[in-house]
Amino acid sequence: MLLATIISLMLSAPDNVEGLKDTLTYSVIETSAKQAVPYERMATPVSVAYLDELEARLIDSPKKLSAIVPNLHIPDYGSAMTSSIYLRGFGSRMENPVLGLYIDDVPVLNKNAYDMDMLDIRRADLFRGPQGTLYGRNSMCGVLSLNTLSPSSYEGIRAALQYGSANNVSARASIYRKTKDGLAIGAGVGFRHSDGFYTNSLNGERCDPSDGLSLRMKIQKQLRPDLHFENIFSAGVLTQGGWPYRLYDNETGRLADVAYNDICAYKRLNITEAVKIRKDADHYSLSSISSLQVLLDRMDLDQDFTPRSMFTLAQIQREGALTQEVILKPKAEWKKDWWNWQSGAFLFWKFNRMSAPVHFKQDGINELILGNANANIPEDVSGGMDAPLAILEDNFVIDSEFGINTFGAAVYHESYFTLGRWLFTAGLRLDYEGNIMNYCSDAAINYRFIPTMQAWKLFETIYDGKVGNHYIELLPKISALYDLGNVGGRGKAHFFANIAKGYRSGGFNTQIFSDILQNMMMNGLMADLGVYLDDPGTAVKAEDTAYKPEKAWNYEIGGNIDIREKGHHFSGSASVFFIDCQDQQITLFPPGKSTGRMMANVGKSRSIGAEMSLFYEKAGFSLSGSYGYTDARFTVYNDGNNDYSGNRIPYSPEHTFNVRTGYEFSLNCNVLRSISVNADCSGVGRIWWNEANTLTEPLVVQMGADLIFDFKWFDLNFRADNILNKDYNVFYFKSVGNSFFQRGKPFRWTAGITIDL
Amino acid sequence: MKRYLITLLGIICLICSCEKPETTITEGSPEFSGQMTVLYEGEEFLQNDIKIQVEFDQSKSTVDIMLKKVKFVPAMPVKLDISILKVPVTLQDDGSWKISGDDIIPWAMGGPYDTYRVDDLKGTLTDTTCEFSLGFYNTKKQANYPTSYSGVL
Repeated sequence: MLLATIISLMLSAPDNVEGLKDTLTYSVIETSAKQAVPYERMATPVSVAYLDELEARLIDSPKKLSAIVPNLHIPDYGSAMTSSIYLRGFGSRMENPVLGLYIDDVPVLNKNAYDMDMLDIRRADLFRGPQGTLYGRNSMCGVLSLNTLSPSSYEGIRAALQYGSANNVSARASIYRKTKDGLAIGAGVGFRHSDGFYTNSLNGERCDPSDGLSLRMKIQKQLRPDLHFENIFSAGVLTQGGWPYRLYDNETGRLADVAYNDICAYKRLNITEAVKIRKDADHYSLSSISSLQVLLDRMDLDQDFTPRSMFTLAQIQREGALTQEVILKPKAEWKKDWWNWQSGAFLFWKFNRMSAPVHFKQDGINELILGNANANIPEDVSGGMDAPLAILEDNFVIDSEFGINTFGAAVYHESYFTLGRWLFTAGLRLDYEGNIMNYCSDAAINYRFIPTMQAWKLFETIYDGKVGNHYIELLPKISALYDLGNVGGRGKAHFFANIAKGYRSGGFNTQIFSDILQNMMMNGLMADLGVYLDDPGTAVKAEDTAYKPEKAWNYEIGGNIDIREKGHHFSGSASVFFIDCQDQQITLFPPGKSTGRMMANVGKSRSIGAEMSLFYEKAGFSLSGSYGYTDARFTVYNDGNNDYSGNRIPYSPEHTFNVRTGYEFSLNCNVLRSISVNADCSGVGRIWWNEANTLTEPLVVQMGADLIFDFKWFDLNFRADNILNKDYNVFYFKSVGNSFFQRGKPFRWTAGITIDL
Repeated sequence: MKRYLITLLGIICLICSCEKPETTITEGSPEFSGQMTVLYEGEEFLQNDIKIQVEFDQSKSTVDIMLKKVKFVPAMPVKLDISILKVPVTLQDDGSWKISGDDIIPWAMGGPYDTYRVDDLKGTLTDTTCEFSLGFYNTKKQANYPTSYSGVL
């Protein structure tokens, strides 16, 4: 149907279509339903990237905005499911992000869908600092708002084909048309393939191949002069390998090759259907944004990442979500010269049915289960045997099923007061969120205590129940912006200060349930034998798996400037911030040879930092740069064994920078219109890998370059990344007492053709 | 007629008064709670709130004694459930039960636990009390741990 629509639209293509680039110049066009003032008059730093820049730099996923946006780090590791986002010192490997993602004003509720194909993204705006008042949950450190091409404002046909290292193939095609009756339709489809960059030394095969298909269809129509309708349907399917983790020898510091024996794979299908309706009355505009989101995914993981048959995890999620937001803005008489405002309400409900069976194999049974159990049996009891306890099965499954309901409601208001050159903003949001989880974990084994038992005995463990988590958050914001005027008629400049609060939601540690059941099974089995350990260890219970929201107050001052004179164009912005974070969520590895990991509100932390971005353009020459500095530390953090107060928060980099310079040679030729040469350099680091700050990654600098031949009908482009083939780590973690790193991707090149008709 | 009935009731009462006294301890598996003392290397190792369950067989000639979460020595990192099965028992005139046994392999961890042997078991069970002494003999270390228990229902 999509193909038929595309063909029919192509056949009805008008002779003269508006040029794409003409619609994408820097402007203050209102692109978000929540934007009430032009970006340069917002008292918060914003990084903006437009379609032409995104495509020239091959930024096809939010991960590639790392470092380009100051203090943003989205490491590329694991798989597409792993969208760990670090911004201004905060973030986490799992669960809720610190950065909210909105696509055409629709919130993406599941972080597993964050790593998506950025198909025809007209502009990407990243608001740094808490955006809690307007965006609520999970916007504690910022919001990334992506706006896709609108068929109402752009008509044309777009296509691209790219080929590069590791047999990377990327193809996309889209069409945007308006019919005679005012119906505007846009449809696009994109395909990606990669053989992968990492080899599993155990079988000699690439372990991270991927294939992805995405599509989007956008329909817009002015139903009545005062009623605008928009429907956006998007879907994506992805299948890939990944998790190329390398065992790290703590003593020698050597990394082994990637070598795991079980399947590591990720499959995802995500569908979003959104309806946007805007009523433009005489005195107000009322926008309604509704969405239905479906995400089905499956992750298979060799959880020990070694050639040994320890244990595997299959995590299957079937999630459905509904969101509804209404935004009221004044117009005409309701909107005063000195007072503008917006109010809104937001509702959402999400249900996730998750299965997470952990499959224990022979080595895992011997080492993780029997090894631990037998080590605790004294000689008097064991009769002198090394391994008196035995399990009949050479593999068994700890099955875990979850039904997680998450729901929330919010109301908010923001007022903007103009007093001379001052713009004051005050806002408040009331957010309620509830989480209810039903859980059921079970396992069955046949065991025998060899010194005393002649026969195997069946032992079953079941752990089921229900836990809940409810909270209310008040998210205020105040800010002041001073307009310096036109800087002698050459441009504009502003200073601002703001205080705002943000939070990211709480939730449940589903990953730890296999650990809970494993503990229960061993303690239950020992009790079944009539053996009771004096110190059975601290048992995690279901109620311990709930964690609270993480909250942060952000205090910030900054400014921006934009000057244009005699063909020179200079713009820049800078800000310094202090973030006070309470109940910080951080991933902990339970002590011992645990198989799980869990999120916990471990204490308090603070982050001090600065951000700067610059842009200069003169004739064909351009130079842009960004820099972010963060000193993020725990202020109170004692995990019971160690006091990490004062240490750096792991995984978040101290510095990020990106510099890009280029020259566009304009040619007086009707066929080849211009040649652009660009080079860029980006750096991330130092990164502290653990709470103890004993492992670090130094500042890693990577070079990139691109070359674009702009022909009349198409562009030819070439790009290279990590030109110096820098060897560096992007991720560190521990599993079953072992340490692992993932290396970053090596040198890559891409060549392609882009068509805009 | 009344006279016959009264006479009959009198005879029944007489017969009943001549039977051995009734006890309730033989019903179900009553659980006692009390103090266990193990003599270990010349010192007394005292354990409080030790639960012991007893269960008579149908003929009331033997009783199973189940000791719950006990240690033989202070340094033991685990507690064990140990059962001493089929201990001979005899009813006394005062309604108490005398228990005695020797050379019994206790039952633990799902089977006979021959690391230990129970010697010289003797004691008394009543409807409300349980008292006995025994020797836990470690067959591997060839060491004896004299043990006594006193508990109430």
